[in-house]
Parts: sequence; structure tokens; C-alpha cells
Amino acid sequence: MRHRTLARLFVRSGISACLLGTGLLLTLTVNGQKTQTPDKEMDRVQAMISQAKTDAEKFSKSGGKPTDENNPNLKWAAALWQYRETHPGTPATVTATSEALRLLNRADRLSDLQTKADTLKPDDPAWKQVLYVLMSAASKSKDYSYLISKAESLSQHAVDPEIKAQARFFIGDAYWKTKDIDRARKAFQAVVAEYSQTRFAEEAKGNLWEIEFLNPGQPAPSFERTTLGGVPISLAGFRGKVVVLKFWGTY
Amino acid sequence: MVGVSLDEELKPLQEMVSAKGISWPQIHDADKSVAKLFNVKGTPTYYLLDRESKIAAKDIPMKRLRGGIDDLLKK
Repeated sequence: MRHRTLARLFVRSGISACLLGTGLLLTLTVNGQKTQTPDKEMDRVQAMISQAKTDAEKFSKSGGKPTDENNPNLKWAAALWQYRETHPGTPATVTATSEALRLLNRADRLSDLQTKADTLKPDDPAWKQVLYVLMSAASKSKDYSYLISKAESLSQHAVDPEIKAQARFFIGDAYWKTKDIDRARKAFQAVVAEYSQTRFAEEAKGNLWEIEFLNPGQPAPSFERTTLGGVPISLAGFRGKVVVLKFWGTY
Repeated sequence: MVGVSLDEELKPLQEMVSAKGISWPQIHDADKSVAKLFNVKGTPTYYLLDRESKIAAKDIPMKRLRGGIDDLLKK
């Protein structure tokens, strides 16, 4: 079953809304009338991404292994990175950059991924998405050291406060996953204190709450609500029973 | 089993509950307040609570749920 991450959904839709706003539907006001210019460059990058996906599916169906030399993800990663280098500074560049690195991660080319990520400057807007790729690579390899060192550097040198907040938040997440609770707590507290205006502050608060109160053996937070059937329900009413709480959605 | 639905709209939830004949109680957590209490970041997320309403497991994958429940019921 696909696990839907609310934050990722939010980020994705946020990003695509942003891209729509700045790129795909660049709105020009001409004599008071609005006309829309499609972003041909973004279309071009999206076409590469979708072809990469098709090729990767075919490759994996025919028994190809991620680490194989002829994994099409490698070819497309190179093509997208080439695009980045020859077409700097647009929303399409950002997408090409993060997708190139994502494909390298899929092909388990960690050192190549890191070498390329090392060339991104702290003011590169692609970091917003690239940090997610680095997190995914870290949890795949169970090695968070590269992510942490990159995020530490970004939290100091990034220009965009949103990226600084995100970097600090990811440091917290990385330490949390490696069970270094003290460092995780410190990083999340820093996000709450220093970047209260960002959405990462809210998520950091939630994680701090979980670190303190939602550990196995602790009493579950109590709540009282009414069921769809109109019956009052509270956790206290389930004492003596084993309870599965299932958070779900029809979407 | 208690279902906590994070649907924004009530209608699709009601429809799915009746279509699938879901018999356990459902809470429509439209404002995400219950989800927030449990720091739920995505769906589906399962919490397993023991007979004293203490957290036995959080974010437990579905395939480990069965075994977890059986262990708790034995206690």
C-alpha cells in the first residue's frame, strides 16, 4: 500500500503551484489583457522525466537491476544534468536538477549523486527538492552523515530562510532516525525558535511533542469525539481493550 | 479498531464506510486535531494501544499489526 505523506503532498502541490505560477503559465499583462505563455522549457524537462520513467519501467520489467551499467536512469540523469548546466536559472533547471539526482539515487549511484550535489551553491533554489533526495538516499543506505553535513552547511549559508529552516528540520529528522534524540530535539527546537514563520516550525513542534509524549509505554493522548454514527467516543471508554487506531483517508 | 479519517469532506467518507460495510467506529477528523495529538504525518498510520491505553506501537506497518495485536491480547 502506498503511504501518503501529508507533508510531501503539500510540498509537491506547493512546488507545482509555484511552477505553474512562475513557469508553465507565465502570465503577461498586455494592454490590460492577460495572455498565458506556456513554459516550453518545463515541457521539455517534463518530457525527459516521463521518458525516463517509461524506460526505467521497461528496464526493470525485463529483469534489469538498479546497479546495472545500462540502467536507463543513468542515461537520463546525465541528460537532465546536462540540461541543468546548459540552461541555468529557470524553474525548469530546478526540476531537471532534482530529477537528475533522484534518478542517480534510484540507480544507487550515491557517490555520483554526492559529487553532483556538492557543485550546488548554497543559494541554489533546487535545494528545496534536493534535500528530499538526499534524505531518501540516506534512509535507503542508512547513512545520514552526508545529509547532515550538507544540511548543516545550508543552515548556515543558504540565502532563502525557507531552505535554512528546511535544512535545520532535516538535521533533526536525520538525528531522530539514528536515535540521537538529544541532537534531534535541539535541531527541532532551533526550527521552532528561529523559523517560526515557516511551515517547518509546525512540523518541528509536532515532532517535539512526539519525542516527549508518544513513545511506546506512554499513555496515549486522550480525546473525546463523536463517531459518524453520532455516538460519543473517548479513549477512556476503551480501557481493558486492545485498540488499533487507524488514521486513514478515502483520498 | 477505531478509524480516524482525515478526509476534508464528509460525503466520500460516509460513502466508503457504507459501501465497504466498515463496522468499527469512525471519527471524522476534518480539523486534524486527533491526528495532531498523535503527530500523524501521512495515511495510513496505525497506532496500537494496550489494555491500559498505553502506546504499544506507533507507525506500525500493516503486516506487523496482526502479530502485535495477538501479543497484546495474550497479556
